[in-house]
Amino acid sequence: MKHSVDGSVVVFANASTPEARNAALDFARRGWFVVLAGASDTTLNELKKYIQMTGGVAHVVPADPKTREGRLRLNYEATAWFGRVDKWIDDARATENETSRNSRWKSLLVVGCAVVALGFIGSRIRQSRSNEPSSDSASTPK
Amino acid sequence: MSRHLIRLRPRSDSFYLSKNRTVLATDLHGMVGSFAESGLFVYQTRMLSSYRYFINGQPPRPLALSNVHQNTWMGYYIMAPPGVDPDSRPDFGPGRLIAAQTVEFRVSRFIGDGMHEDIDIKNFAGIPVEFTVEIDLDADFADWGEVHGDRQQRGELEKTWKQIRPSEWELSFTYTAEHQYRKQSEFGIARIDRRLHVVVHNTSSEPGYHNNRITFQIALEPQQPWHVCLNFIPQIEGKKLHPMYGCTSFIAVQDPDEPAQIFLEESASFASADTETLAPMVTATLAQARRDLASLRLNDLDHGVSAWTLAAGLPVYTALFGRDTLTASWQAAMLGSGMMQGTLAELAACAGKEVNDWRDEQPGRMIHQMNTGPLAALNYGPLGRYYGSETTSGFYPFVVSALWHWTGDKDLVRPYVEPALNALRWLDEWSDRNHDGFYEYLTRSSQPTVNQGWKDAADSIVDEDGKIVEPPIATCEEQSFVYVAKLHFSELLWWLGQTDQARKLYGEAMELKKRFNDVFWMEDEGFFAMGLDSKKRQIRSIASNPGHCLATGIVDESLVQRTASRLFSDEMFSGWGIRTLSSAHPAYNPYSYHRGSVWPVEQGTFAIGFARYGLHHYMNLLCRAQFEAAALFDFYRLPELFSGHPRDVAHPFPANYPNANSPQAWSASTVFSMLQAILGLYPYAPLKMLLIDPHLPDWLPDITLRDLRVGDAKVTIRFFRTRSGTTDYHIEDARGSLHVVRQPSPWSLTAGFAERVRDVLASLVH
Repeated sequence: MKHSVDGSVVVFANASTPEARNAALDFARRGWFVVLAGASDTTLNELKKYIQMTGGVAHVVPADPKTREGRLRLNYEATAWFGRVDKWIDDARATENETSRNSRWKSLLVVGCAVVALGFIGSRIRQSRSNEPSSDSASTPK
Repeated sequence: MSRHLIRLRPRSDSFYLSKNRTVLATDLHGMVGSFAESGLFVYQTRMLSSYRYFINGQPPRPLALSNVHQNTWMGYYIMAPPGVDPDSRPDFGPGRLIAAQTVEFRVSRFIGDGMHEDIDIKNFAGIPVEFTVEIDLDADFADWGEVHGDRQQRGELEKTWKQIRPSEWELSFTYTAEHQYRKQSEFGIARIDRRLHVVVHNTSSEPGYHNNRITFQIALEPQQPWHVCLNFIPQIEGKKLHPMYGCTSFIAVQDPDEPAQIFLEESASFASADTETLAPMVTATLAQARRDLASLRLNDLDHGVSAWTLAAGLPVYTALFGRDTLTASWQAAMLGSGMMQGTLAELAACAGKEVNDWRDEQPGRMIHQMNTGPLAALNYGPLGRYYGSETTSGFYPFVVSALWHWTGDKDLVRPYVEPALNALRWLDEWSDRNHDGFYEYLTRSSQPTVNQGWKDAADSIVDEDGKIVEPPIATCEEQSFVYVAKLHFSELLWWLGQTDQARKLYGEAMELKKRFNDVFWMEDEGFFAMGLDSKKRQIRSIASNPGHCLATGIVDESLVQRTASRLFSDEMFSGWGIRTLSSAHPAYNPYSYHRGSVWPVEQGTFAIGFARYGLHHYMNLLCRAQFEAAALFDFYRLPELFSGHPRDVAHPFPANYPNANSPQAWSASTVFSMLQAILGLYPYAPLKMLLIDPHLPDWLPDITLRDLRVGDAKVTIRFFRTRSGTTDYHIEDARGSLHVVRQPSPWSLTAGFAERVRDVLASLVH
């Protein structure tokens, strides 16, 4: 089995929601270190254990991210434990929407590029055909 | 870079000076006698139990006192002219009168077997002064184990004061003791004759002696200096240990011909051009660790200038400890092979020869510890020659194999083959006593070390309810040590043409691996059991022991990821390192020796394990934590252990372990293991090859490894991070024949075929 290795660090400031749970699992699967904070310690600890059982690393910070003090603590512990914070997610749902919006844009971009490329290739083919000398012209007498 | 003022120091109430078997432990005023463990200890015998200065009956005022080297120290003391209030005259500045009219009293100490001390006095008071200097000194010849009371051995102590030459006087303490003992099969009368000669010479005034005090009457004109030399010459069973140094030897202790200096000159070294990250802390930690290993050298056990071994730690473990020295020598092998050579030679000479239950000795078994204090020498306990460790016998063949990998020299390793085979034979015959294929320990001594695995404290092996488990115990890490010993040693035997024996050991290692994964794995925990108890039930505590299993490779590939991630769960990883026991365990205590503390030595081994499987993000996480921890301690020196408190807003630093040793040999060597893991160094001198797989983290973007020796070759390599975050390298200098090949670990779970091919091709252009 080939394991993902990343070592990047993602912080979920509100990891108690189902969306956050899914996103956290996804990040952990990709080798990110996951820092979890939120309202329910029980939910967070269950999620942490699940991530752990699937071979990931998660760290729960008992802090209320709605307060400035809680956010400072979350940032301090994430940095102290893992050395850095690469991504901070306050609302996993927004991230999910953003992700899906991003992926829609990405799809549109890919399709657009493909259309432009095909059009370009088609025009080149047409152009090269129109430049080919026809057998008629070759036989035209002076 | 560090942005805090945290500065931790184990045993922060004392100064320690040491060299070879001599340790001077003083209080922060540079005096002996104010706390239990202070004294001049030679061969673990307290030869000075009191040593204090008085000037006109008062102690001088300490002003600035510090070690200069591990074996040198200087203290500035001052006094005001007699009869004057030193704290009067605030108009002279905040230092008051004593700073304006100063009599300086300066003490310099140099330890090298014996001790040399200079006392220099100078009159800066501007007026003539007269005073009496007294040196109060006494000796009790206590063992280290007796300094807190409970004295067991008592002998006769004689003190004599005499003039031995026209300008030399000597105070001698002579201690003789004997002990008639009967310990299981061993009996007899043991005797010791230990002495201390204090020679007063090169003095500006003639000394006198009464009431345990050497006294000098001194009269000084303004700017006039005064001097005396004191030589402390211990004598152990007839052998005098003369001071190696004389007056003002701060430069002389760095004599390039001195063995420790030769080691520092010739061994690999490290540098980094980066100043913005943790790199300066990393190089400072590595540099201090080199010096500490050199300073722990036990010169009396040298097997030549470049084959040496070392004490386990300061101040308590100034003796030969089998597994400590083996661990230190393989972990720090990148510095050079001298430590491995000396340790293997010395341990071979001390290997068990007979069955002696009191000493837990059996033929072939490797020594655990050889203490030299009065209790050991008089056979009050078996620690003068004690074999109660399972680990040492597994480590010995492994280190022989490591020596082979680093040197590729058959003649060099050949003398150690037989002792290694004997050690393996001991494991099979004496440790697997019930022939179930697992290796357990059970003492036969009436004065035993009960736990003889990696964790040897009496309360270190606990079940999941927190109860202490009674031996026989087969701990998981000991199985893995036997596995790696047999596997690696089989390869060496193959090279030496002993193919049948090699095949046998290889087969046994493979069988052990299978058996181990079947029996020790706890599927519901996603982790390995700490061990098996006397009824072969799993000891289900979550502890650091399986980290060793990762490093040795006994763990089945399918279980590696879950084992590694559990080690980084917040119950195990404190943020400063991996704890010895889970913080969720009922027996967890962050201050305990093995039930929740963090041992730096383990982290270096674990880092090798993570590198082995290509789990570089875990490796870098752990190494960063340890280098940041080192930066909290004085001199960037990782102590023997520290507390397992979590690294959170309430705990900006961990606590010291009470009476932790520092420096400790394997806490110094562990940082080289970490660097080896980060650089992915795997020497294979038999093929003149150095495999590398560097993965520099963002906190260490650049490091140069100078004068690394593999076989007969010497190479200097600069490793650096590229803009894309990958690591590249440049061979700055290479002498001798060596192929440096970039290649991920053969056991990597993360490296693909393309990476392997790309790395090999890239090696061709370097």
